[in-house]
Amino acid sequence: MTKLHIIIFGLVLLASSLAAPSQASALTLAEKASIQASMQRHVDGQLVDGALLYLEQKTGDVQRLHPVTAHPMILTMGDHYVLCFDYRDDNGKNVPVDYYMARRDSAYVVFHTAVADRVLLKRLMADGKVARLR
Amino acid sequence: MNAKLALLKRLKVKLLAIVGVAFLALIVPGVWILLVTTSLSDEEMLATRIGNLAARTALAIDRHQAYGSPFLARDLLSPLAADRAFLCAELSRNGRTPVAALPSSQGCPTDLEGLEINIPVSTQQGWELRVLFTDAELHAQRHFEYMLGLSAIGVAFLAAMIAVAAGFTFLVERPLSRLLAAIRNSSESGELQTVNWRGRDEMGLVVRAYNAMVERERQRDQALVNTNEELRRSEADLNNLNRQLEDRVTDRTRELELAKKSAEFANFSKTRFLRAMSHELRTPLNAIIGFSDIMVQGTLGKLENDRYREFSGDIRDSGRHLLKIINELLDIARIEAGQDTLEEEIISVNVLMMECIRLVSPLAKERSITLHNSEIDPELVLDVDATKVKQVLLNLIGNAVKYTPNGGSVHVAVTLRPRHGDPRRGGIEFHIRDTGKGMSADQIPQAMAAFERLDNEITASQSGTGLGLPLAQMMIELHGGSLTLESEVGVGTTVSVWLPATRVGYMRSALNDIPPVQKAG
Repeated sequence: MTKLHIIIFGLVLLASSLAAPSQASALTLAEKASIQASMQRHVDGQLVDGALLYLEQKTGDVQRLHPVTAHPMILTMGDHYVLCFDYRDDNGKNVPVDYYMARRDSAYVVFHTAVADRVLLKRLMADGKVARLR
Repeated sequence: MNAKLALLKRLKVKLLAIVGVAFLALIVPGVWILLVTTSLSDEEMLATRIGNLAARTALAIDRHQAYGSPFLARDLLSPLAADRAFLCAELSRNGRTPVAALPSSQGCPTDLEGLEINIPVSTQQGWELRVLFTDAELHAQRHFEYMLGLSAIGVAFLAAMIAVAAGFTFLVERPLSRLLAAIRNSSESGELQTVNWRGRDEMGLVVRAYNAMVERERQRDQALVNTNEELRRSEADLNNLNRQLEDRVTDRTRELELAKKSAEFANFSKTRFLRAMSHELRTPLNAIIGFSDIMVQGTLGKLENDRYREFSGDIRDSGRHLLKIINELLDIARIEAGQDTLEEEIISVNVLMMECIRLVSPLAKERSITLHNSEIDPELVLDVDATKVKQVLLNLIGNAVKYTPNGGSVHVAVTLRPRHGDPRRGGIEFHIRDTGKGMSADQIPQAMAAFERLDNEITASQSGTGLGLPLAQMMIELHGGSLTLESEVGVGTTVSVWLPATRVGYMRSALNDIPPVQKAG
């Protein structure tokens, strides 16, 4: 390998790394804000006395989940999106809730809610069906 | 500067280039990915913040049913203005004129550029909240992060280059410079120099290996110096020994030359003395012998007295014996002086031997000694000095008869020795064997020496000069032959005379068909 080869190799690497940030995201910033707002509106619409009621299928208990914070990260699943929201039950235990959302016209709607089912999301990510939105 | 520094510079530049490219290839993508990820997170944070804020504002408007109360609606919109990304917001129904806006004076002008989100406030009544916000903070943040990243890359790159350069200088250049300096000084001065470097890395190993090599070379040089010194000393010793030896040889040669000259002078003096004395002795001796013979023969009248006649015979015999001694002495002196020459002639071996036998026969007969002689080819001839050979054979046969007790026998044989391809080996041999008392091995040299006579009863009873055998040997050697003597006490003595083949021939076919006898010498 000559000195010229080394220099060319370094320049190619540098150019490829410089080109990476210029890639466009799948969603614009406005769309991201819209989908976050849509999720927030959905969350607000589901609250009963400020809490999300959740029927635990194993025990049959209805748990009250209080919204805490929305995750900024948006995941993509084909044409759909996955957003996460942290809740906290009455015992102070954190409960993750994943919202599977779809685009409808210029708005976004939730088509599936996974309460405390992070296994599903991990399996989908492991299968390559869910990835982080660029 | 010189080639050494140029080499170091090239090495350092190459190393820096490789490290720089590798560093950029590794760190730039990493930093860039970090920046992109951070930028994406910042963007998501902004989207989440604006989205949540707008959604909660819409919730508050809907919950307070502020659609018909612009002041209340505006109050509920006012928290949006607390966000730095916020530009404007409008609450309207089905795209009509907003009932409330923020800023209240102008709402969202059409020429205002920004990112827009529309959030349904009340789906049944068609109220919608329109919010415009800017991502300027993202640009600023991204610019800052990119500048920070570039600065970090630059600083890290510079630090890496400095570290590599310093490390190269300390770890490689310094020991290499010292090593090269030592090699250069060694080359210029001719004296090997070690390098003072105690590193434990590969360069340290190289320097240690070089020092070890230098040490070995020094030891080898020292060994060579010692060896050379020893060689010089040995050479000096050898030269001294050679000089001493040459001196001794010179001295010895000088002594030998003196001794030789002295011996030659003595021999010359002896020969001259013997010749002079012989001549001076023979003249009066011939007179004595002649006059005594006249007296014995009674040529001028018989002596009356028998005793006188007996004395005259004794005088004559003694004179003859003395004359023989003188003649033999004269012959020996001439031979030793190299003045005797051979008067060669062709003579029949058979005739020669018959003559000798005939002359000795009276004495043998007188002593009852049987003489035996082998048959000799009558055409066998010799090319020799006939007088001398006859004198030798007569002397040898006569001695055999004289020293053989009465009743004994003497055998005379003549044989031809084959050449076997070597002319020096072939020739003719005369063997005279008697049955006398013989001699021991230590007596044989004495018998061959001049003026020596064996001391025994036989020799005591016989007259002799002690010169016959040595003289015979000399005469035979003059012919290129040899005379040997073998004897055994109680058995007898055999004297062998050998003459070389060059002196032997045949007188065949009236001298026509044979090659002439080769002349000796």
